[in-house]
Amino acid sequence: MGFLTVLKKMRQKEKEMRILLLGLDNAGKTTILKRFNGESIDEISPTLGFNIKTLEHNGYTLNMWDVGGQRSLRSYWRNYFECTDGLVWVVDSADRMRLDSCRQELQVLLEEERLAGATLLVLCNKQDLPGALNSNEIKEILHLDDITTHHWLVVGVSAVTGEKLLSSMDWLIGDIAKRIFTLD
Amino acid sequence: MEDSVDGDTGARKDLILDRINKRNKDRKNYLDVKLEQRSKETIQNEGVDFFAQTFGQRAYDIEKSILMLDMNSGDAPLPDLSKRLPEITLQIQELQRYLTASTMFLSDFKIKSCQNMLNALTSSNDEARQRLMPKKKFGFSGKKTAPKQKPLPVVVDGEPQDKKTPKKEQSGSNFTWTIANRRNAHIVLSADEVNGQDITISNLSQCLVELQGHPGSVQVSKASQCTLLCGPVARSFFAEQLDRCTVAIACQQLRLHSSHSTRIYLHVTCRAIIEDCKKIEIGEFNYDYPELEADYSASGLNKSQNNYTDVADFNWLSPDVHSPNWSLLKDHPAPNWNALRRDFLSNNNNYKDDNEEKEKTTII
Repeated sequence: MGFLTVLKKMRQKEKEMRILLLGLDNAGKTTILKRFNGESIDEISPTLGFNIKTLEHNGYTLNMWDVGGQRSLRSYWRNYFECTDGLVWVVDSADRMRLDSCRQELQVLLEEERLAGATLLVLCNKQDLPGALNSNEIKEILHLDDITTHHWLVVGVSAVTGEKLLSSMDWLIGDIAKRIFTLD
Repeated sequence: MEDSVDGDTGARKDLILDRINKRNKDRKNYLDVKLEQRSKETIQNEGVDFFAQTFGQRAYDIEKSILMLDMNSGDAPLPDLSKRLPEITLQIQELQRYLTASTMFLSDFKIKSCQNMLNALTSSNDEARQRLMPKKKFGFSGKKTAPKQKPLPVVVDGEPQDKKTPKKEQSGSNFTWTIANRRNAHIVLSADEVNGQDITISNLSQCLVELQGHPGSVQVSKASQCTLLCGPVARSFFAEQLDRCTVAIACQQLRLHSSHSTRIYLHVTCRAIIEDCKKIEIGEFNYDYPELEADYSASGLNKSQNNYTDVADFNWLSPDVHSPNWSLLKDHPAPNWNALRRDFLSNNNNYKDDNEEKEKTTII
């Protein structure tokens, strides 16, 4: 067992993961990224373009790509699809008005061939707000149960309080790691 | 001579004995190594067995505690439940970690079946949580049980009589707007209805909307020739398809989409962005009322920080040339909102009868 552990550690060290954060504008992608990276979230303005963060977590090197969600930027999302291991779809749980367009955008993404192997983590952000829908309601609205092409998980989080953020990210990383291991 | 031969044979005998001893030792060593190897293998097998046993036991324990939740739910005090549920969630997560850490020596099938077990546990835990500790739903549930009110006639006299309108349905995507489908109306939402809430407005025409207090966020979709007056919004003001509107708003973020010929008197602490907009005019926020100061502090907005001059246009990415889609209002007299309200009301009295007539006919 000792030898295997060493082997595993070595392999983990080499492992880099590419994680793409997408979602409609105002969903909180940048806030989640900054919170995850331990930065201040006080002054975040709408993302013009994209942010990249490389961070170490659980012995993995994570390349996190946060691409702006404005309508005029969505057509550029596909430039980031290549080699994506994990897709984090961020939903503004309080934004009932646009949940339909949120579902449509997600469906388009899931049909994308280059994202076929990626694990999907749906984060229902802004759970700290009084009007937020919970993760079950969002699961229904986004028809997540119909997804058979990807490993997926839906979690209610709050980037402001940090609630459940880390554990859901751990799941994503664990799922990606498992896939890479079993594939080898 | 004989002696020497004897000595010689003695030495050879020693040599041979030595060699035999050495070979015997080698053989024993070899056996030992083999034995060790074999025992190692059994340890590994034991690892798999051990995993199966531990995993099964722990999964069983978690299942049992979920079941216990159900049985206790009748008389268990609430804080106990709120402590137990996260505990179980934590246990499940721990088990997941254990499984992930053990994937190296488990077969694919075993991983898969264990993962299925975990998924089942997670879902039953979620289900138990849903049933026993449903998330406090936001909404006017008390009003939902009341018999459906007939649509109220359009209120023109400025009193917040339309208290029944902000009825939010929680179910599915077919939510109800706070304010929707109004013409020529003066709509006032009082601070009680607005504070901390997400206000959604849709399909208005020639209305004067006043939101008192401090909303959590405001969303507007489709408004034409309207005036919106609003106190400090804690988070974002999101608007699309505004046409010839005037807005006075203080917010953390402003997002304006697909709008044109709209004037915004703005206080924004973070940044304003526009997208697919034309002829947007931005001026400094000047809406004032007695409780403004209190609303600022309640909303958490910084009154001294106003970035209204820094608007990002997503359709204009050149930093050197100013976007043609928006401009700052300069040398323009600041509007007097009270006078505007007065004008609106006096003009609207002419429409009043017409409107009420229309409402009546629709009710019949």
